[in-house]
Amino acid sequence: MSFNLSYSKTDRDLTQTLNKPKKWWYVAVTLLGLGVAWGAGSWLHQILTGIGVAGKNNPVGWYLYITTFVFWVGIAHSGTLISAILFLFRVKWRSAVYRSAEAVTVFGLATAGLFPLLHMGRVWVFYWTLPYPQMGGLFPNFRSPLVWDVFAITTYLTVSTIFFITGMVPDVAIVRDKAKGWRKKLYGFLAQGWQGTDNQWRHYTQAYVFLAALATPLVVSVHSIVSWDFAMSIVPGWHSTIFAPYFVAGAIHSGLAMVILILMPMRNAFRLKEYITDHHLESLAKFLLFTASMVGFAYIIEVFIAWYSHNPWEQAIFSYRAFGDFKWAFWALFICNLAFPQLFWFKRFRRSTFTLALVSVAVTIGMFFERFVIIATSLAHEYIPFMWGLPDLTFTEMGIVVGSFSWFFFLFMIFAKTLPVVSMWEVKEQQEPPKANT
Amino acid sequence: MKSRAPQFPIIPPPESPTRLVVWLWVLVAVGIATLAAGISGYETKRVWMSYLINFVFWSGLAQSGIIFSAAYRITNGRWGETIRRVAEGFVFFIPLSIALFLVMYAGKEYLWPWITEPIEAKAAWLNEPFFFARVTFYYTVLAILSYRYVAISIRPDVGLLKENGLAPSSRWVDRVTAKWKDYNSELETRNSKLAKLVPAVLAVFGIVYSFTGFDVVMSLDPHWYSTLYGWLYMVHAFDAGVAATIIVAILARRYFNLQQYVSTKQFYDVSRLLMGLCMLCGGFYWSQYLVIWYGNLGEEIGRLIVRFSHEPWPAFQWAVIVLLYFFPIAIFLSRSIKEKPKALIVIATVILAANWVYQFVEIAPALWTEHSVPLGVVEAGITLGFIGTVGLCWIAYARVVPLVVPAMSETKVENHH
Repeated sequence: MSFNLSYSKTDRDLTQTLNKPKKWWYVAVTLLGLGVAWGAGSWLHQILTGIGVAGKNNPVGWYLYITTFVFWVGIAHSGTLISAILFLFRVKWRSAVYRSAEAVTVFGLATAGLFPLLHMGRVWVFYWTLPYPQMGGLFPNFRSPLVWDVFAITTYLTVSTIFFITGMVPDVAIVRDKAKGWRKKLYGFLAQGWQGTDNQWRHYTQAYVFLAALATPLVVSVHSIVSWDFAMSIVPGWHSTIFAPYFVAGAIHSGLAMVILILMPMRNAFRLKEYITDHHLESLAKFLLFTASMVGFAYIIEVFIAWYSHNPWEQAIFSYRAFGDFKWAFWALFICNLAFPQLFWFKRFRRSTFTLALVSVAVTIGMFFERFVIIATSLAHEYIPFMWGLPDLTFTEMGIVVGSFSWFFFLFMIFAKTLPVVSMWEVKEQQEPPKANT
Repeated sequence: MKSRAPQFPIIPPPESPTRLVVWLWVLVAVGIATLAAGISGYETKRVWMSYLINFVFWSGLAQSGIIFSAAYRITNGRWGETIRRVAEGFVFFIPLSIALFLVMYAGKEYLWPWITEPIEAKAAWLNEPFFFARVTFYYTVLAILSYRYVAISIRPDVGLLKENGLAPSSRWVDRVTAKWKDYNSELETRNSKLAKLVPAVLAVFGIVYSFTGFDVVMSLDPHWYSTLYGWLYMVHAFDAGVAATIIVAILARRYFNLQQYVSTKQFYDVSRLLMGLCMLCGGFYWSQYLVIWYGNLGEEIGRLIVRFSHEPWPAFQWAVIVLLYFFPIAIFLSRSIKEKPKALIVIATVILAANWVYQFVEIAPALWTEHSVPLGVVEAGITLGFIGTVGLCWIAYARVVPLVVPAMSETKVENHH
């Protein structure tokens, strides 16, 4: 589809998002700031008192932090999918939504990236995890998937940030030419001297394709490696070959839900309905249905193979998941991730704001539960009954989780008022150029 | 939706290439003779093993042609109408493959070990009647959907030919175009019917091919299991289907003189798809390998040890890894090679052959315990028989369905970035 708008209207509409914020924005940012402060306070408390205040016990340990970490890495996946993979497939509807999706990626990773630090009892020696040559003989164990994780996520953060910034260059140049004060300096720096000459465009479009091609394998590799944090071990319920593709699908699933969840209020608040149209949300909804089916099918395969394998440990963990201490979370994730999105088989529901919001919220919760079930149940119920145990939930831990959510949305709110949220140049590419006599 | 007027020219299907058809029948005869020899006692085990390898390879390939077409439609593809049409041409082999599966009932004792030595704990799933019933059921459901999909997909074009007196007389064409209205309203009916059918075809394929992987191939090692195995089986089938489609499209373009209607840009795009699929296959294979290797559990690792260090299998296993997972990435880095049909046909053939070897190295080590390599006259005979059958099925389709889609024949191919 193409947009039936003029170039000047596009510039006007898409730069007015940067105007002085209204009251609702300040209220939201203040509330989110309080959430971040709760998280920061909890962290400080944890650092000063010791990791014990976060309820770490045997055998479940860091289950809630790890769950939240995997959740945020997952959220980060839809951005690159929409911006890079759909770009390579020449999918047109991505142009209106990819900027926000990329922001979700970058901020999702910026949130997830805090978690390795949050896990540490002695955070001031965090640099011991990095592979630098030193005298003490301490060196990261390259056979550990956790070290692979460090590399995978750092690479992903680097490439997705470059992609995010590069995609913005022509747009930032437009706002630069009208800005004053600190904004002029910021946009001037980000626009990198962009003048829109033929030569610049030629290099730019070429670089964009290369970056997209580089970013594409990362979508697959990062969450595969996160899944191997679990699958490499021989813990029942974790040691499963399907984990890599199943985690990637799940990551995209949660990421798409988050993108829909962010786009819907944003297009209302910024009056962008002509740009982020119902068609765009519908396309995202169809995609969500696809990922839901893939993830749901993977759940079923896991249960089926646990039964088929006749391996007593695998069977025990799956029956514990379905009928044990956390059965509520297990059934909730099936309903949220698999059942709710099935509504999107019908056009009526894909076009309804209410169901779009409902399903996206359900999937976001469901995907948090999914990671919780995978991590907590397997830790709580390993091989020997003597080792079984349940987690405690402490106020500090909750503070960190709430803080991470606040931090993510806080960053997004700042972004929405600082940089263009919809790509002006790609939207213009899909418009009729202005002609004489019209 | 606006109605589109068909853009001429309409290219009628070519004359049936008689000499080729005769040769293909000869291949079928060779296959039947080899199978008959096997049943009557000559190298029986090898014949059945080779039959199973070829069955999974060719039935997966043919089915994937239809799946390629359905995936192309659901993604609103417009880049390769002729290639889509060529892929749909495998449709006649699909119902036939149900019968070809049932033929294996005669050789069941040579194939699935749990039939002769039942495993009590798994008997609820791995028992003979249930196995044959459910696999036949999988294939039947998918065959019905696939056939219906292709019949709806080609109807407007075949009808248009008939309207213009260009269609060869065929009872099948009459059936497909029954109650014909006019081209434009037929296009609309087709699009609305396919909008519902396409997701169903794809979803059923996903389920059926995952479970076929578990049932038909994974259960050859009845104690071994891998949750990814079904998807691994599915993506390899799809990869083979796209490689085969490229080969047939290049041959058809040359022998039916379609050069002016089928631009090399279509090959460029489909090559990129093939490269992506080879990477996907490699990624899935690695995901399975790494987890098993790292876990090093007794009940899992045996499968890798046999294939990577027991003669004669390592050479075949490595051939698959190099030719199917790495070679396509390296060769397709070149942009121009994707648009050169002569080079492309060689590359696609290598990838297709590597896919055959993949099935060989998945199946044979589970059944063949001797040190010799089970490749020779017997395997050649069975393989040729399958090539002949698939070839005849495809030609039967191309004889009545226009490969160049009339409405699209003059559409310009988009420039690349």
